[in-house]
Amino acid sequence: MRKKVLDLGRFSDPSLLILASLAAGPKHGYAMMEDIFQFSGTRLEPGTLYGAITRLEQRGWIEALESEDRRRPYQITAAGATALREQLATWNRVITTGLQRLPANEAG
Amino acid sequence: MKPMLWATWLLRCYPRAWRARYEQEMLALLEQHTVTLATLLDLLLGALEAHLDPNYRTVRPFFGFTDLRSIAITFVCAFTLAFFNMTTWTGLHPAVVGDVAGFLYTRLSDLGSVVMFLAALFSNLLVVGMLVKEVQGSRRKQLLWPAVCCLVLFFAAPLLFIGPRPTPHPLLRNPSPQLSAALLTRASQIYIAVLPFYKMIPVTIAPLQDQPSVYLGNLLHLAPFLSVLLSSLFIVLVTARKTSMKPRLPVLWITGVEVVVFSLGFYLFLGSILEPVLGLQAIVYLRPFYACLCLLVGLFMTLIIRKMMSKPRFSALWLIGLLCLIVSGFCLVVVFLLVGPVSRGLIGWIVYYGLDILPYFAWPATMVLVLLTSEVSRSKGRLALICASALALAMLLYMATQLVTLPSSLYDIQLYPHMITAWWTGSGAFLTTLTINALVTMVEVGIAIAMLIRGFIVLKTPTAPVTPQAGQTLTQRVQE
Repeated sequence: MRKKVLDLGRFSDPSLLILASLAAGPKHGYAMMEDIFQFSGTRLEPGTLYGAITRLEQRGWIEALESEDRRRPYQITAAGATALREQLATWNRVITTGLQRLPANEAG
Repeated sequence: MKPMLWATWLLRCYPRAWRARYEQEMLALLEQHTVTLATLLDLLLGALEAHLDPNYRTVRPFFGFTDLRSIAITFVCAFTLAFFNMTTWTGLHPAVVGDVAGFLYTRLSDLGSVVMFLAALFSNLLVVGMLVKEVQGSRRKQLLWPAVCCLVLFFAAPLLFIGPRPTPHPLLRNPSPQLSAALLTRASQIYIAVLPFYKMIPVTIAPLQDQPSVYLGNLLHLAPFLSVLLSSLFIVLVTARKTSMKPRLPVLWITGVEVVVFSLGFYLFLGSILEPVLGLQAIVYLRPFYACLCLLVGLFMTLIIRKMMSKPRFSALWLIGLLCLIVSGFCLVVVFLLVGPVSRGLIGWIVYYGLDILPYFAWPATMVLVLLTSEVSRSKGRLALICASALALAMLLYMATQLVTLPSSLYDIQLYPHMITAWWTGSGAFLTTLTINALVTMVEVGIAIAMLIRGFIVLKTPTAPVTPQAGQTLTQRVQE
């Protein structure tokens, strides 16, 4: 059930998921997909993943590392970590507020 | 096809710059991933998204070719298709079956032909003049004689067709007085009176024997064809003497001939097969399809030959060119025979299609020859664009005259109802075909004009524009 709710694919926030994944350390594309599935239940498809990677790289929130392999790893930058913190703090407020209000609505 | 192959193919839909950066790692990921229908859809959306990304979008202006070759090819395609559609539109005209000189429609159509003829003459003379001017010093004197010969031939060739005038059709003797009063009609009459050797020759050919004399041998169509042939010949004469261009231009010239001859041959081939089966009316309806097929065949041949140009197979190409010349020569001989008694059956058809269709391919072919050589000389390219503009203008004028003739032909129908067969009346397909034809023509004319404008812009640029390299993003280009 939880998977169904969160598995919004392209319409979830893949950028946030990628930043959260890379916060644990550098990863290449496939490792990111697996990691994201593990902690969020969302299976990102390659097109969505690389669309988000492209945007994050342009903003300077992640950067590619040198690799001899075709699978190029990415790591989060300091700016990316700050952005992630801000995003999570916002979501935290949203979640806290939502949880506080839910029982009140149900009671009402 | 396997899903992975589909995925690989979809990756090609991404912008070139994006692929240069991410394609390899994306492929590595896809090899590990289970590719499903959702993956393919996701890749397609990703490709769209990447194209919308200004950092990876290929930087091109609207109608954005930056090289003259692409502009030339696009122009030629649009121009040819537009012209073919226009002739089809004329062919579908209500008065087509009664295409007799007594009709106002026919006279106004002649005026359009005169405009086209003048434009072709103007364009080709300009090209020849510029080529002579470009040649340096003593060579210019050597090249003057073929130029003069070409011009003499050009003006003299139509005189060869002066012969005993056939008895005019009754409609010619009794044109409606009201229509004769029309200004445009008078203008066309005066013009034709000034140039007596451009009179039309009435011909009755086998498939139309049950019809009154139908005027097919219109020399106004022949004149531009000859001008194109001769000026193309002259282009080869001039440029073949330039050592640097020796291996290239003859091949380009052959390319043009290929387009013309193959298109004509294909048209005739299909026509000869289908005409007995479907009849003349079907042939008229099938014209647009023929046009598309001819265009495809012509383009296909052009592509093959252009590919072959990079390989040392010039002798084979010369052979093909020679064969094409023989075929062209045969068509011309047939035209000469038309004046005599051998103007029946198949020959009539060859002449009809040769005169009617060939010029519309030959003009753009000449233009593309000149445009393709513009990488050597920008002034030549500019000149070619001016000529092409003149043709485009003529095309528009011709179209305008055709539009004017529509109400006039309806008037003609009232006067001579017995001349019109019922095949076009009350037919929804007829109106639909006319509408589609008109729309396609307008679109193609628009593209052709846009290409001309683009060509002028490119030529006006002081230095040759650089095409963005593969894998180069906008940011990198800005940094450079």
